[in-house]
Amino acid sequence: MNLDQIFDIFTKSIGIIEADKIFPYVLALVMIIISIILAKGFSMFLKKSLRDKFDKDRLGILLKGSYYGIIIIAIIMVLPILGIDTSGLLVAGGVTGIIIGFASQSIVGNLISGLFIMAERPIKIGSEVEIDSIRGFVEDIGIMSTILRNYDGLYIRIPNEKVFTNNIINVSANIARRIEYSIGIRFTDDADRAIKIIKDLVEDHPYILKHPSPDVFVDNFSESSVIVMMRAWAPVSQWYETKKELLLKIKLSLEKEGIKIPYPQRVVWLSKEESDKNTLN
Amino acid sequence: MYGYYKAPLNPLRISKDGIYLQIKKDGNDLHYERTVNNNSIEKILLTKDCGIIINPIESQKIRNKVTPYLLIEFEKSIFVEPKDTNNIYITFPVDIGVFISGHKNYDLLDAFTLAKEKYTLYGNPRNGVICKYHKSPVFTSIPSDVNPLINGLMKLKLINTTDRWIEVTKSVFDSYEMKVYFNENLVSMKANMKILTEKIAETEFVDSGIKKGMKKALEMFESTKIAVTQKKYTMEDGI
Repeated sequence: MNLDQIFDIFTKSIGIIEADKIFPYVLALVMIIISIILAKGFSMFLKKSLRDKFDKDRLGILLKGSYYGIIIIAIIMVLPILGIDTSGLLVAGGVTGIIIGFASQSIVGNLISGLFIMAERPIKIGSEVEIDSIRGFVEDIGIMSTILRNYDGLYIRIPNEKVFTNNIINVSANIARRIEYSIGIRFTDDADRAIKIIKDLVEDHPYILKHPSPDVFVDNFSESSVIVMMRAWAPVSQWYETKKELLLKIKLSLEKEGIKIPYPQRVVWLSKEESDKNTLN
Repeated sequence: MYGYYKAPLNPLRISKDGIYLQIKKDGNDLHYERTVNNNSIEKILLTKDCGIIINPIESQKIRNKVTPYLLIEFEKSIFVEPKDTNNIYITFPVDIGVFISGHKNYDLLDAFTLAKEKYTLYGNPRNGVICKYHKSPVFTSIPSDVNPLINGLMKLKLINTTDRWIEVTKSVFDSYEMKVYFNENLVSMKANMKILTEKIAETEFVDSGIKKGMKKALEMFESTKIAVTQKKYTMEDGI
């Protein structure tokens, strides 16, 4: 078979297919190629803009999701061009979507919340937090849930929707944290002396920060004691140890100087004359 | 006290200014003991013999990992003339490192300080940094009464790039970049503080001692193989 014969057969085959039948196929192919390029471009844009906000694995899932999502949408758009009726598919898809939507409301809620938490990053792995009255350390932030380890070492899974809609206290977000003590001393004790003792201890403690300046002052008179308030700041990494250590030191130093923390007390005055009258009556 | 103590170390006893340090034989190995301010530490050295290097090190308590920054507050504030450069001398707290050496290698065995430990916040709790705190007198020439086991002396070049008189009350440094030089009587560092605006300055260390013939101290971050990339610290929360 020579070259002329091959060309002849090819021309006859093309001739069988009419031009208006080829066009939709070409258009569909072009649309799918464009959608692939768009999907690639969009996932690259997402990768660049979210690289710092998501960790590698989760960003990978998001990128794949967006990439294939765009291609699937393009395929659905292309089907009518090829003469495939998608109205039935859309109706079925719509009904199925409503059913799945109702059934998976909380799942989708958790998923969306998870994405927002990852983008906003109010908490990080290792942060010490309080979410919905649960306190502990963040062990993992997943797409659907956040895992905490509470102070008893228990594993706690919190759905992301709950994390997102509740108030979050992130204890370790800032580098310094305040320590506050309210110390009661007797009315007969020298308050100035007590303040000086506490100030000296605060000054001597390495982890009580020089700035912001600590403050020690008489705050209130309660029923049984004079309340001396101490407010000072410590590095958040040393906060708990410092708080424990300093309070014990204050107690021991005040006791050593004869300044005592009083028991609750009530002074009762008894008048003998009045008492006798009451007895006669 | 600073220097290289060659093998054999059995026994090595150093007692100076409240530092008690001892290395003695314990069976086939060595036993390291150190007491400073009622704080004792003991370690077993699984070696028949080794060398010990005692050096001032970067002002950083690596065991606590609290902060790599050092804030030096001046006892008296300084006014710097517009577009002028001046040298002042300030003190800084010295940390002492004990390095173990042998087989052409060395590593940090122990670190301690005789200087008062105190920390402070530079900036605000959200964006600021925790710094080791030191209050220093300001000298215009080298003072003679600085104890090299407690404080070092820093020659600080103040460069005012602005057209205004600037009041300087403190200086903040990143201790990863500290270059400590010493001799028997003095521990020193050299640094520059470039004043960019009334509130912003840039600090950096200069790799040189303040007197001729001073020996460069072993760098703790070099021995612990911490990669240092940042060379300058920008003070953005006031000077």
